[in-house]
Amino acid sequence: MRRKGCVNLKKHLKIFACYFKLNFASALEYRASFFSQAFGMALSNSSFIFFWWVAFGQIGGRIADYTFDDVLFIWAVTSTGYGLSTVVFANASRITQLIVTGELDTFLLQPCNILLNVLCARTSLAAYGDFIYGFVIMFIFYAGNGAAWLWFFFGVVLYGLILTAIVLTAHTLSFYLGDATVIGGMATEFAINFSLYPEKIYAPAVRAVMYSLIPVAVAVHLPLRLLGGFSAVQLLAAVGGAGLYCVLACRFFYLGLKRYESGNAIVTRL
Amino acid sequence: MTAIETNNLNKTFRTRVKSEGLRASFRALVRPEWTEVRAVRDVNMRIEKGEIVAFIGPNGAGKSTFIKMLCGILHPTSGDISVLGMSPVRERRKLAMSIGTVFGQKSQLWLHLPALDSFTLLAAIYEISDAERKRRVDELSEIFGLSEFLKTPVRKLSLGQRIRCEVAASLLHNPELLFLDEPTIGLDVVVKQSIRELILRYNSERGVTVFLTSHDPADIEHLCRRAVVIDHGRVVLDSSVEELRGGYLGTKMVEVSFSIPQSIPEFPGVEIITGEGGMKSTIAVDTDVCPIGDVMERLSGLGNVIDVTISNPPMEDIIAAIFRDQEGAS
Amino acid sequence: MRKMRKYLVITRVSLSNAVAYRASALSRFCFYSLFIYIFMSLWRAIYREGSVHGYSYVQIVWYLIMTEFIGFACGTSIYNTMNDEVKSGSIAYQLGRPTHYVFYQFANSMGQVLLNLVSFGLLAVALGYVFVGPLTTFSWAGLPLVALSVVLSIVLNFFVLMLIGLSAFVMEDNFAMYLIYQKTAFMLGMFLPVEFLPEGMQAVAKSLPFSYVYWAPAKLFVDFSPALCLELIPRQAMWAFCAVVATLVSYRFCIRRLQVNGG
Repeated sequence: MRRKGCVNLKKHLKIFACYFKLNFASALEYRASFFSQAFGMALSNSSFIFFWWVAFGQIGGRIADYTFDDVLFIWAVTSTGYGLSTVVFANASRITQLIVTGELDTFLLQPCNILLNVLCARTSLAAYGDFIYGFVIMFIFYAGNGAAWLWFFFGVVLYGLILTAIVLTAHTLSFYLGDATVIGGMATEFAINFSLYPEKIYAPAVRAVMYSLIPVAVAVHLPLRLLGGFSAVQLLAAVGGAGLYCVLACRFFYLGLKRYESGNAIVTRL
Repeated sequence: MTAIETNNLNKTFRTRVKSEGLRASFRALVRPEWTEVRAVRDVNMRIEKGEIVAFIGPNGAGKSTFIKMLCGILHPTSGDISVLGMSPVRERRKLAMSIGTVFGQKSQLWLHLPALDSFTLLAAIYEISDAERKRRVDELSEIFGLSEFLKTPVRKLSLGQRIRCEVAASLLHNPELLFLDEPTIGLDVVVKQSIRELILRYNSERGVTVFLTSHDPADIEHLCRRAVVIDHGRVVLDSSVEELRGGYLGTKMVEVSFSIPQSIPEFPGVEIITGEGGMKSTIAVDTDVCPIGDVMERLSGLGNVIDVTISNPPMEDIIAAIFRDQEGAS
Repeated sequence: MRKMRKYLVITRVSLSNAVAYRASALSRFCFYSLFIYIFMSLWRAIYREGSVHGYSYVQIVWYLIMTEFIGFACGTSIYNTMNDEVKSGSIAYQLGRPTHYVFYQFANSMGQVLLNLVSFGLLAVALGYVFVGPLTTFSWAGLPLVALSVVLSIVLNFFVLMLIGLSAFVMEDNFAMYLIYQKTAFMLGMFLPVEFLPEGMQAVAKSLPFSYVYWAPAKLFVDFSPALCLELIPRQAMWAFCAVVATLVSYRFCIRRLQVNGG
């Protein structure tokens, strides 16, 4: 049984590597669009950094307890973490489409783990820009700070996983509601916006959501706090909470899958 | 050996009923009304290994729902399925290793990349070693004649080339059972024929069981020995293609044009459908009673013939004829 | 007059078409509210640390409501439409129509824009009242001129986007250009007023067209004065006029190329 599990893992890693290569090759077929999309994302991110630069220029010091460097840190984690999620698991945001059009069939016909197969099958071109962007910020503002790099990587991995789980959960609702495009889009937007700004700008109720229903704060604001002062309890809580959230998201997906109707969900007009 | 067996198989979908209009939309949002659609009802079927079975029925008859249950995509509402001795619900992954599928519009190939790259991915998915993969790809590209375009991005291939790649992709892992859903849709006659020959060849050489749906009577006539007709989720006819040919597929449509108005004399096995006594007539020929060659001879005997087209009656007509007979019998 | 009616009918058809997309409209309402909430929270935090010259907290939130309102009402679909039509060559078929293509597209989009202006307008006012209360510096007398300014910025934005879409004729991939335009307009007006920029940049921003899409109408809205109108509206009109002329000229150029080289 254990050997089988090991073989399984090796197989899925191989599939994963294969998807990655194919996706990248696909992207390079349209080289111009690949680079301009990556460039576009970097530019888009820069416009927000510009905003912060102006805001701190006007105010100086701190905004909602965050210094300019703190803001850059959460930006770096969010950008690279988002990039990680959409480079590796881009299909999460297409799950509604897969369900509604019945494209999910292809994955159900193949002898491997459904969820992994679905999530890894696509990549987003623009996401490479986001992925690199965080590294650029880190190199410019935190180059020599080892601890910052450590918490950066920690946050990126956690953010990548949690964001994927959030998007997955929202789109999984399509099994129940028919079409969760709007909910999926909203959840993604919330998740990103909760991690891009100092957490204290939000009302307490919203912050409670940031640590529970859409727990992105765990992957962005918490690493920043740990960078300021280490706390083993907080670290363990973050890892445990994120793990639990991801497991529940997977469970929810498989539960929904039982209701899959393979594109036969027709609304009969009377 | 049995390849597929189903017992009292049922699948019921719950669909939302929505009336026209804005107010109804809001009401449906608050208190949706549901209706049950029985897509597959009490289907009992047994298919032996090595058979090629055609599955026929009008759109929405429950064909694809049935196939999807056999593949493990959909879970049955009630009843049992055994495919190659496995339960598609409980042993989906294991079963997937030994079945191959070509589903009309859903492609397994990556559009922007050469088919060869897709084969590499499929090899990883189906746990095929590198050496084995190379051997299989060589073999399949020889059988299907893929070598010229194996390295061309799929989007640049013709539809015929693409379908050949699709079928080859579904055979890469040496499946024992092949599901083909409309494999020849949209292809021209020559390509259709070559696909059919490939399937037949694969069936006779490897003993692969083939389960096929199609709208083209010629597919069924040339490929299958057995046909199952389904409507409203129920099996209405399960017979050999031989019998079906006698009753329905044996009919050919002959369209003939004359240079002057011409009436066609009556003779057994020939029925004039349209244009009697005109410049252009359509006749239905029962080839069991009157071989098509005799008909041609008689027609040319009339003189003044400028054009003749022979075709199969459309599938819809054949199914309609079957239903008429079924209703007459019950 | 007959000619005008033709375009009015096109607008009406596209308007009724737009009503059909209620679900996507709902999600855009949600996004709009979300953005306003986030930026309001952000500005509240910033103003807690100190005041930013020229704008009170209430003014800056209403400023933002206005810029996002214009952004959401305009949409960007014209860029994609043009891009697709040029790349697929279907722009060639439009030549046979008895309408001027550029104005046809404008009229066609205005149905959606009008609907957005009304629906997002109501939402914008409601959000402003709920979040920060009434805008005390608002001038009813100035409203017609503010409305004019909004119309000018919609025209300017629309034709610049169309121009970038048309550039698909000469550029394989013009997405980068689209982004540069969009983000520059965001930085020089949508996210923050030009007055917040460092001195040197302010002068540059005021001499470029980007700030006249978001900054000019929003500034007039929160801080109306006749003198400001005289300063801003003519410049807006000038840039809008340039954008229209540039679009018409590029369109002529594209058509000639089409007629010479084939579609």
